[in-house]
Amino acid sequence: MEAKSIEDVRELATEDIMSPWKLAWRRLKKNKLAMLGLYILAIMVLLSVVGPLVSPYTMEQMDLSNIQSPPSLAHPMGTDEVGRDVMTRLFYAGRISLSVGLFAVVISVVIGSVLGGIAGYYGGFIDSLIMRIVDIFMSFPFLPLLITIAAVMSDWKVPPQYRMFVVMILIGILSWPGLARIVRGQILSLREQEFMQAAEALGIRDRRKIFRHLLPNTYASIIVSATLDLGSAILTESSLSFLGLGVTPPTPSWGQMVQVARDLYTLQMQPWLWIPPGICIFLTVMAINLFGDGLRDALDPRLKR
Amino acid sequence: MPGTITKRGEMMRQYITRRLIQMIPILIGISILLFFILQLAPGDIFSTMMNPHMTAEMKEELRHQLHLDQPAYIQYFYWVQGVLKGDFGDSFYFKQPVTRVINTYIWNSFLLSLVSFILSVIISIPIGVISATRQYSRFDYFFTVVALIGISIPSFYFGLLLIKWFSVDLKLFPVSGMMTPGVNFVGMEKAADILYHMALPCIVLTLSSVAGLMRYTRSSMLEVIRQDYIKTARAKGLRERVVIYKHALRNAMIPVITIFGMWLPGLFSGAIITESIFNWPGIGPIELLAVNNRDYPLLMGINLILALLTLLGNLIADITYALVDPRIRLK
Amino acid sequence: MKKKVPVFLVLLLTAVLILTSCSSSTSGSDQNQPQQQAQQPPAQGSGPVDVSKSESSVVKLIEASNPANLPAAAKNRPDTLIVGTTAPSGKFNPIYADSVYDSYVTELVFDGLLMNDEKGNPTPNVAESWDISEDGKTYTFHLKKGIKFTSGQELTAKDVEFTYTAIADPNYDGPRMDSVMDLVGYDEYHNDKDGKVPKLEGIKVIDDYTISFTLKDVKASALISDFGYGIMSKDYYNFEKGNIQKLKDLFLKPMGSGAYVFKDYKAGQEIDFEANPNYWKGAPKIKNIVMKVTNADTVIQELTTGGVDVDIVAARPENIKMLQDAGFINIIHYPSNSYGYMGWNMRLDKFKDKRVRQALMYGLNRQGFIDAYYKGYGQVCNAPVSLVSWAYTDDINKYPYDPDKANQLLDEAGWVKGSDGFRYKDGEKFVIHWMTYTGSKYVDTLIPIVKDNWGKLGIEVVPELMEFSTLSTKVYDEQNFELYNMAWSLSIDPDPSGIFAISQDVKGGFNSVGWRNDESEKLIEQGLRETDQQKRKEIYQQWIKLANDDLPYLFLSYSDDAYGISSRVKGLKITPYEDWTYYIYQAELVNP
Repeated sequence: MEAKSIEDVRELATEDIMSPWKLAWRRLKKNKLAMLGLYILAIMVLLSVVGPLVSPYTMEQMDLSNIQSPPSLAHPMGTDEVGRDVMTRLFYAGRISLSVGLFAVVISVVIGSVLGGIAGYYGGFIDSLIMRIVDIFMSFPFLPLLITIAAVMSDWKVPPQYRMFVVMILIGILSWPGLARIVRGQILSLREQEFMQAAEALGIRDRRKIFRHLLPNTYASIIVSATLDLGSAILTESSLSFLGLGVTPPTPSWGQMVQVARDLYTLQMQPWLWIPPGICIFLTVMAINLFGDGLRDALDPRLKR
Repeated sequence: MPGTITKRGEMMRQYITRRLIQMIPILIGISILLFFILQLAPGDIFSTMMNPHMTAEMKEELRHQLHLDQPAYIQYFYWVQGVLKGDFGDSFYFKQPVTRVINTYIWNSFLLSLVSFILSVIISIPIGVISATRQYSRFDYFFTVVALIGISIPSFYFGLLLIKWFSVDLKLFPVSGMMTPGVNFVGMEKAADILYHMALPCIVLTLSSVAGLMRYTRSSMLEVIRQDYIKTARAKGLRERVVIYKHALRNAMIPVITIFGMWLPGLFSGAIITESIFNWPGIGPIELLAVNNRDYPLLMGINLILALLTLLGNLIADITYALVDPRIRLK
Repeated sequence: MKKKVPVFLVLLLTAVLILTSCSSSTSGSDQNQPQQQAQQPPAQGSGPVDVSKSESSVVKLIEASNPANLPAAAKNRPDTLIVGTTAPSGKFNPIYADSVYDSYVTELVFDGLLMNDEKGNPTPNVAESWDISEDGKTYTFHLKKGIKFTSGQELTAKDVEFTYTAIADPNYDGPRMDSVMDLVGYDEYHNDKDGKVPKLEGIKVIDDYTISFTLKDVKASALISDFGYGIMSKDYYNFEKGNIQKLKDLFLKPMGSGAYVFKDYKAGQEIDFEANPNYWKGAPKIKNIVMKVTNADTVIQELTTGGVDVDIVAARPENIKMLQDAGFINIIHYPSNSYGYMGWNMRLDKFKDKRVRQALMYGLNRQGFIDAYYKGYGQVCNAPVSLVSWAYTDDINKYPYDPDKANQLLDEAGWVKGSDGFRYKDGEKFVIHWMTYTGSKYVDTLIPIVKDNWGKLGIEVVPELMEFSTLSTKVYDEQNFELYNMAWSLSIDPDPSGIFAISQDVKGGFNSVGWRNDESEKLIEQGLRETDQQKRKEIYQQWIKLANDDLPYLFLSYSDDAYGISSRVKGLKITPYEDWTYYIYQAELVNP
């Protein structure tokens, strides 16, 4: 009892001199679920980086005499339609899908929350301007535009391996307007609350008000949006490849690997082809969600554990 | 104070009028941008017409009939000329007026989307609220996992599974379509028949939207519950139910309203994948067909309707913010 | 008559594929079950299956093992046959229908002058007989008397004249132009926008039951290609020259003399028909037909649950097995009238050399690809002719997979292997940019094999996927490509001029590869002007051998078409050249 209170006091004391980020990190480390998310993510990244290096097969190595075979010792996740090792391809696919997913989400979150924050805080003309841009982005049919971009890239002979970066940026750019509106909507309400009047009275600079006081209160929505976007970005990548924009086969991605379950026969009879990539997408989305929730709690000054 | 209310109403009216007027140049801008981008995409309706009996000259003649041999701005001019007379042109592919084609399919999409929209609101908001009030409970964990699975599963995959379970194994629902073929039901029987066919696609659409909505409601609720005024309300001794549903939920609705606003165009745009798998005669696959065939008039028609709905949806959301949270001033 | 549908296999594939992403299944549980058809013994007491009665040499039948297993859903509609269809677009007019799906509708509702048999020969239909003039340019048709439209009016020569004149209309914008453009007086009639030329000179009504068509030049393919289109009633469809909009307004109210009467179209869902009790070939036995929209993702489930009675399915062992397991479904399959190929741009130096083209053919394990993808329901293609064509010949080079020979040919052609393993010529590395379309399992299976096989020859292959319209624009309209792949779905007549004539080597033409071979040009021209079929056959076989040696394309694959047919349907005849609509009036529904 005695010892614990001393511990508490000491903790309080250290908290006072720690920077908010350090503090958040300490809180985060205590959150088991958040750490679980972080570990899962780390393992996924590790596997996709190291996996292909240690695998006895290569991504393109095929074996026409051994196609669509169920999992075995030689192929722990079976083989695909031209006899390639599914597990090796899964690792490779992770490189693509993780980087596309994470980068696209970062792009969309940064643009969306900054523009949403600015629009919501300043209101008036700036809000109108940003929101009309959002309107245009949201009402613009991107299908024809994406087809054009794909055609232009092929005219310029952009090597297929670089098109992945275009895909990341495109997905990011396509998904920010929704988040911008969500953030702005919340900030419209938040800026009228008492704490902002206090901030006003203290004469805090606008930038500080937006990024230190308003945006943190929208983290919850931003994190949900990031989680949703991550899942859809990984799946969207494969839809973009239908427009000729995605990663070019034979380079795999999780989204494309899951697509083989397009017919009921595969769905029923060859689960090794689609369950592993499906689980990978699920785990990634879950990891980001758990970590995101934990991060939000850690950054919330009202929650002191 | 009645005075302020009238003043508020007056301001609101001005705001709405201004936003509506702003829509006109935006729509014109979108139509110009859209028309030129459509033209940029390689090919036209005749590019995929791979009929060896159709020589290059014949194709040229057909292109000429549709003004496709003219520069884009002249084609736009022809299009605008028609639109000003209320004529959106004939679809290149269907060779029917664009308005008729859209009218044939869009209401089927609307029906399906509306029902699944209502269902997902009914399901996701209560679950989101309960998850938030009982954060880290078993209930919360369960639905968190369900939602995350929903996010990671592609809808085609879920649709096929439902067909396998409910149509092939249990024989409860038809595999696809919107009505029993060859039978012309009327009145209630027709409604029942459509509902029966709608069940599976509706479940797919509902589940995919429930996941997101549930998460937004939960997180936004969590945020609100932690606010001081909720603590105050509790401290005042208000019943928990009143605190949650009257005070907290109202304030937690802002992000959810934003999502609702964004759903307005979604109600009419059709779900390409779900509609294709279940052969639901909606507008989603038709738009894809129009893109693949470079059917400019049809694409212009569909996309301008959707653009208008997007603008309206965002406007409605903005107005609703002010209704839900009276402190928000619309300028 | 089997129409020249401008929807070609690839297009059909991609249309379905883009709509539903990847449709045709790739998979197969175990590959030790190729060619499993005919292993299943017919079930005891299942009675004679009429599908087999009309079986031609190429059509294979897998009989239902347990016809009694019919689902209640199907039993509950004793008078109604439901046929699955993919994407009707509502252009239900014989001269406007531009997809097989719309054509099925017009074939049910309308009758053409001629039909064709399963070998692809023209046979009488509305025209009882026909004469060809000495010079081979004038065709005179004698119509059968007493054929009535469902409006009650008799079908006479003026209706035939009306139908073909409509195609020549100055404002006609459908896909049938080629069937009249060789008629005498076409240009005069077609180019006259002011209504000064009231009649098309080449079409002459001799009496109510006799009509003649005069061509500018001999066209050997005319009979089979141009005279099958449904005859429209002049009284019902009549319009003033130029005002062809009238036909479009009647798209959804088609009326003809066919076996079935059009009742209703629910866009994107179904088309309903009722038997024409006064049909001149005899009243159809099946009272109602419904064409229901289905898709490749779920067609098997529609068939096995009894949702549809007849539908086309991708001929893959997995699909066939699922249909067999249902027990009550007869399956027929036959080689389709099409082939898959890769086109190389012969304007480029690297593909100009025949040795290089042959090396690439030898150096690709096409059999391996076909076994992996079709698993017994496809064959290697070696020439630009379909397996079912009367012009087909087997007496050609088979180009078996032979990397050594390929390497040797490449060495001879001056492409030598560098230290990095790739081949070089004049300092240029052998790289092939291959443009292909997205969303196809066929392509997804082909890419790794091509990359691997040609990689071993020292050639770097860079595949590039694009949406189909973009691809066809680059290939045909711009001719801006190195290598691409597509498939041709062919018409009955083997005349290849539409694809390989030098005149087609223009932007927008179909000789996209730029094959300019004088010998070929001579043979194509000869074939088109020779009306004796035996002599024509010899000419075309000579041409096939030439193409097989000179290789304008890398020929890839022949695939099968398959139909699932519920055992409650008896007497339905389907062959590569005969649609299910041809003899549907003879088919009947039973309760097995």
